[in-house]
Order: sequence, then structure tokens, then C-alpha cells
Amino acid sequence: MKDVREDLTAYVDGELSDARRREVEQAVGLDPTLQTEVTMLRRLKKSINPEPLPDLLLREASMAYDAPNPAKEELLRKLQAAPKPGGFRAVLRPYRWVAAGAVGVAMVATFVQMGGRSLGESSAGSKEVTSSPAFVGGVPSTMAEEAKMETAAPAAPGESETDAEQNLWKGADQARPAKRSAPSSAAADIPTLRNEREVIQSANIGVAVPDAYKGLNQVEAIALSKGGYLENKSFNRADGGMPTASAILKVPSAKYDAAMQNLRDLGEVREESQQADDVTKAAVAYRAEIDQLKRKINALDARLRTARGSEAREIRWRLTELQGQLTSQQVVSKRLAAETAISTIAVTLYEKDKIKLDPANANWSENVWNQATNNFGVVGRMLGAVAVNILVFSPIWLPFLIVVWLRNRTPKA
Amino acid sequence: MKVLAARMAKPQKLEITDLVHEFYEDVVAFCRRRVGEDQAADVTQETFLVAQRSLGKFRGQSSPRTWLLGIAHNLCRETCRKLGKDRILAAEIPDVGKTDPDLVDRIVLEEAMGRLSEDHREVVILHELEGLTYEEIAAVLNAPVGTIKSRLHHAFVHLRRNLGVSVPA
Repeated sequence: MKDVREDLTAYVDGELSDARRREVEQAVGLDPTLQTEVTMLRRLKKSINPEPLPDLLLREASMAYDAPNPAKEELLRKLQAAPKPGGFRAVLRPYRWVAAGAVGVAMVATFVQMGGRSLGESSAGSKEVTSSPAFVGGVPSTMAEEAKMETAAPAAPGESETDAEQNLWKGADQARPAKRSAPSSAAADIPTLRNEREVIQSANIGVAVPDAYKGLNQVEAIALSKGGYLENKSFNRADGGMPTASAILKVPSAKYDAAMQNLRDLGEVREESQQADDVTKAAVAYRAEIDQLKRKINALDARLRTARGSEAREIRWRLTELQGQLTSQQVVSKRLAAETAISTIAVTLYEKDKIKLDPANANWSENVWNQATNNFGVVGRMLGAVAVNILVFSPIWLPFLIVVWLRNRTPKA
Repeated sequence: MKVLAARMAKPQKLEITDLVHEFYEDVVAFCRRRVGEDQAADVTQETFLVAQRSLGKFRGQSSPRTWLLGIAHNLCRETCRKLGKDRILAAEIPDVGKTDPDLVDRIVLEEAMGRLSEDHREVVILHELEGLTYEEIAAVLNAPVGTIKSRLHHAFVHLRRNLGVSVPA
């Protein structure tokens, strides 16, 4: 049990709990020494403050109200002249939950708005994924769109297509009604469509491989296996840098997809881009022009057999001119055909670091950094959006705020 | 007092002028004991100005008087620190003009209290002269109630020793 003496002061002051007070009381009643100590303490306390405190306070208070005190008066003047306690914040304090609620609603609204937009963006993005890459199932996206348009609203023959294009479609006429009757099969038709179009294909691909030099040989092997060749190749080992190799492949367009897949399989793809230039219209136009020139030449040949004198000379001169044009058109057409027949792939090989870190750890800092900067951007945009929302809604809350402030500004009587 | 009691029901409606009317003298006396007559009026004024600015933060968990004395206590410490001098903590016993033979002589008592440590003298002044309860002293000094209780016990032990009274161990 705790020493009673330690609690004697608190006992005299009436600051003990009921239970402890009873214990101390009991002990004091039994011990004359403790009784003497209590008496002495009471006497000492009375000596320090000889007058009961409440009476003293009352007397001081009444004196304070009766007697003018210049310092007190000056203080009261200062306090009344001073701004309202707490200033603007104090005025707002009673309405802080309303303000917090408004800010919360603004934030939620902003979040929903941003979330909805980003959702819309992502759905648009996913739509793009199926249609926007250079190739969809190996077909240029523009062609895929074109195919869809064809299946959805086919143009009447001769209505919008040139005769030459109609000729192009002749071979596929059997397939077209099926496409028209079943629009959903458009995707399935795309490979066929691709074969019918004339496209110049090219690509850039960067692959990280264990050994850049060996990789270069593999690239060459791929080119040869597909019936193509390497247009050029180079190997570079810069001081202090990782070795890199580059090559330009030429492969038959029919083997383009297979070649790309083989290149991807070499290692870890770092970058990839593909381009497709649809030259069908130009090719068809050249061929039509060639046909027309041939027809004209044949007709002139027939006339030449029966022509005499100046007419024959004129026909010969005209034939020479037309044959020159035909040759020129045939050269261009052949060049175009060659370009569409062969695809170009630019390959860059990066040598992976020999002392490779655990992939998870190697990417950890980068991932965290990207995530953090991304989050920072998101939060920044969100706060900005909240600020803009608050500003936009100011015609609603600002008058309310002004009324509150005016009401609280004037001190009450 | 009725006005203050009514306002106490709604602590946020406390007016600083009411506090001045009620507690100005208490705060002046409190400050006088700690910073002396010269600085007491200024520190008191500063106390009420600070209180006015912080009135919105007053939650009524302690009495307004305790709250004001807490502000004054901090300002007195700050003033002494700025002036580079120790707190005075004058233990002036009220002269009631009576000569009760049972009471200890005022001069002797003041001298004995003057020899107490600052911490002990402070709690004695706060409790005996300024009339604060243990809980209120704890609020003013920002210390646990148990510490105040123990400090007061030891203060009186030392005071009695200073007065030449033997204290049983």
C-alpha cells in the first residue's frame, strides 16, 4: 500500500479519490503523528493564504468592476478594434463541413468525369488497337477499313470505281457477294484482300539478343531461308558501350510476316514499327495505260499494213511515239511490281548486358519511377481539375460565402 | 457572471471582452508574480490578444480562467527568455492585517517559500495563492496530474523543513 504521508497534502486539499480518502482518513484517525502532520499542513496552508479564496475572488472581482483600470480599458479598446477573432478562418469554421463536403463532391465529380473520359479513351484506344496498327492480321489498317466499307456499302460497278479497279475486282467477284451478305466475315476476308492489293511493305525492328554478332548471322540466315537477302549489314562495338549490329533485309512480300516473326523470336523486341504503302491504284492505272497503248499500237499496226505514202509515214511516226510511251510505262510498272514483291526490313540488334540483373530487380526502379511520375501527373491533373471545378462553380458558392462573411464580420451588440 | 455562464454553455460564443471583465485581475496577478510589475501589464495585454486570436480553438475542456493562465504562463516564460532573466515567481503572502498567533509569520513564510525550488514554488503559488485545482495546474503547466500531486507533496515537505519543522521520514 502506498505511503499515506505522500497523500497527506492531497488529502488536506480534498484532491483524493473517495476510496483513497477513506483509507487516509482511517490511517490518520489511528495515528496521532499523522494527525499532527495534518494539523500542521492545514495551519501552513492557512498561513500562505489567510483568507478563503472565494471571498478574495469576489472582493477582487467587485473591485475590478467598481474601480476603473486604465490598462484594462486600453486593452478592451484594442480588442474591440482588432479583427474578428480567428479572422476569416473563424468565420468559415462553422461551415467547414459544408465546405469539405463541397470539395469532396467536386473531387468525386472530377474523378468520375476524368475516370469516364479515361474509360472512353481506353475503349477508343482498344478500338484503335484492332484497327489502327499498320497491320491487322497482316493487312494495312486502311485496307481493313476499306474492306469494311466495301462490305457495308458496296459501290455499284462503274459508279465510283474506275474501270481499271473494276477489272481488279473481277478476280474476286466470286468472293464479293459473300462479303456483302456477311459483313462480319470481313476480317476473314482480309488476307485474301491483302493478296489482291499491291502494297509496298517495310518495317523497323530492334531486338535485344545475347550476342549481336551471332544475331547478325541469324538475321542473314532468316533472309536466305525466306528467299531474300541482306542488302547491307554492319556491326559496331563502341568503347564502353554495348555492341550493336544492324542489317537491312529484303524478303519476298509473301514471306514478310514469317520473316518478321523469325526476327522477333531472336530475342527481346525493344522496338517495332511497320509501314505499308498501298499502291494498287497506281499499279492498276499503269497496267490500264499499258493495255490501252498496246491496243492503240495494234490498231495502228493493222492500219499500217494498208496505208500508203504520207499516211504510212504518219502512222509509223505515231507508232514510234506510242512504243516509247509503252516502254516507259512498262518500266515504271515493273519497278512498282518489284517494290511490292519485295519487302524491306531494317533490323537493329542490341547486345544484352553480360552481367544481367534479375529482370524483376532491374526493372523495379524504372517501374517505380514511372509509376510515381505517372501518379504525380494524375494527382496534379486531378487537383487542377478540382481547382477548375471550384472556380467554375464559384457563382454558386461565392455569394453564399460573401453573405456568411458579411454576417459574421460585424460584431454582435 | 451570468453572461459568462450562459456563454460557457456554448463555448464558441465566448466573447473576449467578457473574459477581460472576468479574469483581467487574475491574469495581471499571475503575470506580476512571474515577470514583475514592469512587464505584467504588457504580458497581460498580450495574453488577451492571443486569447482573442485563439478563441475559436477554445473547446471548453478546461475553464476559461485555466485556459487564460496557460497562455499567460507561456508568455511569461517567453518574456523572461527574451529579457534573459529568470522567472521571479514572487511568493507574496497576502497581508490581511490579522495577527493570528496560530499562523506562521508572513515574512518568515515568504522567506521559506523563496528558498523552494522553482518547480515547487510554482505549484504552491498556483494552488495556494492562485486557487487552482490539481487538474487546472496540470492544464496550465501542461503536466500530468500525478506529477503535480507529487510536486506539491514534496514542496510542502521542503517548506516545513525550511521553516525548521522536523518532518517524519
